[in-house]
Amino acid sequence: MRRAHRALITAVVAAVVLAAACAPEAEVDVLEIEFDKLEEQAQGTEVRFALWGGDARINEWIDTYVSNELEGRYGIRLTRVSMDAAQIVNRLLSEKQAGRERGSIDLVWINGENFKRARQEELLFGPYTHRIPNLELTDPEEVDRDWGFPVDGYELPWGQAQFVFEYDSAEIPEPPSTIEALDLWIRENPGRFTYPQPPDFTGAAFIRHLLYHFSGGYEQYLGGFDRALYEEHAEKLWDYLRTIEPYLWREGVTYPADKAQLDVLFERNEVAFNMSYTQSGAQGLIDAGRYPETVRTFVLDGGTLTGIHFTAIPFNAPNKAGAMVASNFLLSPDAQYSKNLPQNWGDFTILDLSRLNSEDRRRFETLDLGAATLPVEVLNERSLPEIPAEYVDAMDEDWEREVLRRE
Amino acid sequence: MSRPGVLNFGVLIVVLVFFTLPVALLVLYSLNVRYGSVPSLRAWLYLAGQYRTFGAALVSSLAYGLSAVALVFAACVIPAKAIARSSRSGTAVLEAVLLTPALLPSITFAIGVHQLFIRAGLVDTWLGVLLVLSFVAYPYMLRALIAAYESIDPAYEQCARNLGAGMFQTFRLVELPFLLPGAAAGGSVVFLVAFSDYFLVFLIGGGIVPAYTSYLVPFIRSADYSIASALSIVFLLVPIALFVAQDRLLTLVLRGRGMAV
Repeated sequence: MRRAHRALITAVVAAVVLAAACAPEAEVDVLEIEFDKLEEQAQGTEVRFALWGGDARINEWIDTYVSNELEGRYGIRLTRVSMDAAQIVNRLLSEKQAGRERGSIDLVWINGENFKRARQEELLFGPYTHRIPNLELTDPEEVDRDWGFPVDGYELPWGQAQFVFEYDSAEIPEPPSTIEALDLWIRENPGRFTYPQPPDFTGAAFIRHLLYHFSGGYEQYLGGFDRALYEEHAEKLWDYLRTIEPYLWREGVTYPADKAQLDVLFERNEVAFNMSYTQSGAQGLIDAGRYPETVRTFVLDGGTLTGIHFTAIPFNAPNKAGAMVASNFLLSPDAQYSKNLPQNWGDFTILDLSRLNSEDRRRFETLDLGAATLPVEVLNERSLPEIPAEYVDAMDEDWEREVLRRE
Repeated sequence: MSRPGVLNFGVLIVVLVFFTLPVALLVLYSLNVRYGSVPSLRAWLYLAGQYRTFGAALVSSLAYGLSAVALVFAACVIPAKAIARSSRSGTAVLEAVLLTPALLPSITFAIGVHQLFIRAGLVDTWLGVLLVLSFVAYPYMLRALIAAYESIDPAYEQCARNLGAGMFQTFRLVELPFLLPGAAAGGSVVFLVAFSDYFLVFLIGGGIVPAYTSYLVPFIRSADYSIASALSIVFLLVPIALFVAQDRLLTLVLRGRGMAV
């Protein structure tokens, strides 16, 4: 009895000492050791990947393709955790406040204002991306900023999305291709157009196009947030949105609360246009039987917003080695290609095709994006950059006061 | 038709309209039967294909729901008896204190508990989820057991003790059978509170502890009505199946003891 006790105490003490001795060592290692050593270290571990879980196709792609490949290639068990980026940031913030050094999320899907907030609160691990081999397949100038905020090696590019409008070509043979034409269409077809109310991600992106348009282009906003500039130009945007209100769905008394509600209105044909921040999302929905075969997409002649999204590692990720290996895989030509297929997800690759070997390049060049997706050249020609996140925050804040509540 | 007949008929119509119609609509939605779309089994096939995560979520929710019932019952028996049997004025205060979890807005309570649980290492654990849900659901069982104890004549207990039964024996053989219907009623509410909670489970479980609600909510928020409907149907069937099972079991147990139900 006594002996058993002593053995138990010794074991516990040994375990505690061992755990204390091991933890910090592993921490230093991941940024120092060679990547193939890192892959060895990641072997047999679990990686918890937190991402928005509202799209069945994305979930399925992660749960099947990504999960199987990680298991097969690196012996990593991937666990998908459904949680959107804002929730993750809040959660990391409370963990930081409570001093939780060993969290439970290893990898997160993030960009824009959530990344900025996470960086400012020091919630992310890094800089680490210089250790990720596949980063060399991207164009450094293209991926060094996230909505104007420097990336500084704290997040790894994952994909590229462009804003498109969706419509049914059986109903509208020639969609409006400029903001003036769209404006005219809205006035001639009262009640057939609306947008999700900011701060919904897609709705906020829609009104940024109008800001660019009515204030003479995006270039002036790229230098960082300028409140005076914002105040001066935002007024034109609010003026326009108030003028157009009577011609919107339900006379603009209410707006769809989020993108999902607009999707429903479009699917029921209550409105004639939908909008999406995924270029080939419409094709995927046609394939899934949710959209009629005749749905097509268009972008504005003046261009539409293009944004990059990333993966990042929380400051208290318990398995940083595994997260680095997994995110390197997500950026590999194989995974990027699979993600780019409209049946899987349709999210565009962030790889710079000129940096790929000829075989990989050919795979991307001959990718069938479906009839509803615009040709890549058209999308590339008509793409606009995102502006600093502060502008987006300010517009999200003011929209309700300036448009929804003002008569 | 007699008056009660008319009344019953009216109730039937109301039940049909308010219960059956929405469920019928859910079934149609889950099969993608809507204006302008092609009916399909996509939602159900997706769930079948996801049986591992979907099943884990369902089993985990069932497990913490049922464990919460057991834990709360164990934690309620003694206070319920004390409150039911005591006539001192202090007990009213005690009862009020024990009932506060039901009155507190759960968000206020949750933020504090979250910080506390992070420090105690209980976040992202199954135990943490069980504890927080048990705390919130505690009053429902307590009320039910107080009522049950109030209906038991203390003389039964005295009799048993006089005949030489110990405390546990008295509880098991005399009190428990009387408590069962009340415990079943309270337990149903506790289970429903625990099983259907989203916010606390998500906060304390952190998306790590599998939960049916954490699985369901992203689909409700997205426009994928088919999958959301299919998930809602399962969400509805679980408690119904449990209630039927509980009802059968209770009848069997009480009949076995010669207590007519």
